[in-house]
Amino acid sequence: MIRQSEGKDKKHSYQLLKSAPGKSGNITTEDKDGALTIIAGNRNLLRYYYKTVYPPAGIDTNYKRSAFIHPLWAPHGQELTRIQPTDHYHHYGIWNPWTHTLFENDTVDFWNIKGRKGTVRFAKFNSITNGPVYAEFEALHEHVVFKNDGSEKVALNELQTVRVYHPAEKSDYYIVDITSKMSCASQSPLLIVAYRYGGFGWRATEFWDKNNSEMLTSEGKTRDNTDGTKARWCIVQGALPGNDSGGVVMMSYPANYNHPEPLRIWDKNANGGRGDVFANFAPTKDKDWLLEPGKTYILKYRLVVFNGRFDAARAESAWQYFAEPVAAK
Amino acid sequence: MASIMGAAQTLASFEIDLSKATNGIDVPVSISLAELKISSTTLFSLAEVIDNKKVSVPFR
Repeated sequence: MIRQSEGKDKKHSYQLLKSAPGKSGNITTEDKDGALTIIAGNRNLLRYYYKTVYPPAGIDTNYKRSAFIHPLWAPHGQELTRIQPTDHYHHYGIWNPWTHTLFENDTVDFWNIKGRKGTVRFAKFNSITNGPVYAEFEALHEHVVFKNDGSEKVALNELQTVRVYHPAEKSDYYIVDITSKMSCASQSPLLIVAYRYGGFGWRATEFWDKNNSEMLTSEGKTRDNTDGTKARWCIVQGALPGNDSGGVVMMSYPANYNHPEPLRIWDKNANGGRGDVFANFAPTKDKDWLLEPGKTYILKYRLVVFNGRFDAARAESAWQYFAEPVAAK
Repeated sequence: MASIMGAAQTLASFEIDLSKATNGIDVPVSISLAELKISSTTLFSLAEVIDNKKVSVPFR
């Protein structure tokens, strides 16, 4: 990780030395109560639920789910995600199911799980890594089809890697990379049919509404004219508790399907005019995607999670180094 | 960050040119060490050379 500060040289010289590595603090994971939490120093940054989380008592248990991120914390500790809001119990922080699909001649919806046609669930961890530069886990997600005869079948295996880079001490931002490698779990293909939402979604903090949050995309679109447009990145930010502010820059990798990716963004009239915040890179918003057996399909996203305000210049810089990593000479 | 003392053997040197504006955002960098053929038991460290001083930097 090349640390940055204003006025620093563009050229950085390094030497690999035959000596014991210097001591530096690690970014670590804590496995507790069915969730893995990534922690830097005394700051919680991100929690991933591998246990199945049920909806509140009295709500249809079809809404239960595992394999999602919540909370994602701002560097100053505010929660930026929300799960099981009363308006959409199937919203789970940061999660990525497909909505309108065709599998073995049945229409399957992995997003709207109340209908019990499909769901996505945690199967196992392949690896969990701690260290001075990043903490990371790779989890196997099964995209499960509930068949009409009562049986179930895994349509899609997804290896999801979540890497959180160690923020500098007192830094007001940190970087998260989320990579999904998808492959058909059987000899049956999965057709993801164009639909207005689906894929990498973020249901944001309930603290935000139409009066205290905003959006800006790489193409200069703002909240009320973003939905349905395509973007390389999207800043979502607003006021936060403690007389603070912050948000996330969501970035799409150039090799992603249908990049620059279509966005599904709730405008200011969302949820009866309250203006709750939901943001979604939806690569199949305007285009089908056929996933064929024997092939692997990769989607990469980077999040810059911050306190304070982010502007277009900073988001563009961050995206440039995500899209085209630097090479050493 | 601490300066690295002594005269540890240099296994490799490299430069990274951040030709684009960073606007104060850290840049994750990954480099393959496969060509160096370093023994898996060798202890090594990474230093940034700043004003002729070697400053230890985190790596994995």
